[in-house]
Amino acid sequence: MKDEVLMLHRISKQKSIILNNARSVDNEWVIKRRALICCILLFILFMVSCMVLYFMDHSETENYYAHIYQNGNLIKTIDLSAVSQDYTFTVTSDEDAFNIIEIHDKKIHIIDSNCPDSVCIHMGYHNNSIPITCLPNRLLITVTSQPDAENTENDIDIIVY
Amino acid sequence: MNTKKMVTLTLFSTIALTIFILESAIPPLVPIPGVKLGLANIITLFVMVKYGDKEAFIVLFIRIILANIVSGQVISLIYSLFGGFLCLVSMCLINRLLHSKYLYITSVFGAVFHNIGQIIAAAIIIQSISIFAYLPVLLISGIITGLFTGFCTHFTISRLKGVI
Repeated sequence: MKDEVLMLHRISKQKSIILNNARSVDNEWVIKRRALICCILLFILFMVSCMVLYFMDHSETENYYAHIYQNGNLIKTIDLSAVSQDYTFTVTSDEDAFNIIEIHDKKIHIIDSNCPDSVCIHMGYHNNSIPITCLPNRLLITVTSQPDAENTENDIDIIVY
Repeated sequence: MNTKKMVTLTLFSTIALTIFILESAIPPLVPIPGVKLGLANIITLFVMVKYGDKEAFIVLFIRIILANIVSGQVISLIYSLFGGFLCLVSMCLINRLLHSKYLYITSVFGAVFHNIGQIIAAAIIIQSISIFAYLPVLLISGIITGLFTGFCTHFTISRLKGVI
């Protein structure tokens, strides 16, 4: 009885060793194929991002309307072409965080801020491709060609039954 | 979980926290928010390959919460949690597919999804779609930094084979 149990145990161990070896040999080629597919996907992603960056319009804008959003709410719209003289103003968010925005030569940019990484100051003047943001202070400046804000389609003005 | 494993995971969390804080002291190279060397992902990937998914989640979670408490802003907690969670999920999936080989591919996917997660969190907080204009630059920087961290993790694991 004990011999049979020992023999059965040895047979099952050998079977699992054979199965494991077969599985690892079979998986080597499968893993290589999956790795190749992942590499090709990443390469395509890289190329698409480069092309999108290349074809985006990077010119600086003039004579457009600047919208300033704080916490998702539009707080100010400025007609940049009607600004005759440079001025600065301060936008504060909660907890004593501020951004000082300057309009200089019909272009808008952030001059000073007390956010920790100060990326927003180095963004420079606005250009067509990306908006100016200060993410720690939840500030967003976009410049469009229409005087109305772009988020008005989210608000429902009236419902008629 | 025995005491030795708990202490080892705590030490890994401390290492990840230190790397994160040191790396946030480097001035940003590109004026786009979110472009950074994600060196703390080395620890996440290391723990995932050596121990498993749950342990990597624990280390990541502790690191994110402590790093945001130490830097003193609650708002970046949401960005980091989104990005870190998406990064972990994607790295788990790719690791399972590739059986812990080709670590640089896993970490590239992790970095890319980390950046995508941060952009989605920013879009939810600022409530504007126009923030997705940052996505091409973030994808490119994610691929490059992911390759770098993947190679770092590969060499760390191969050199520390008998030690940890």
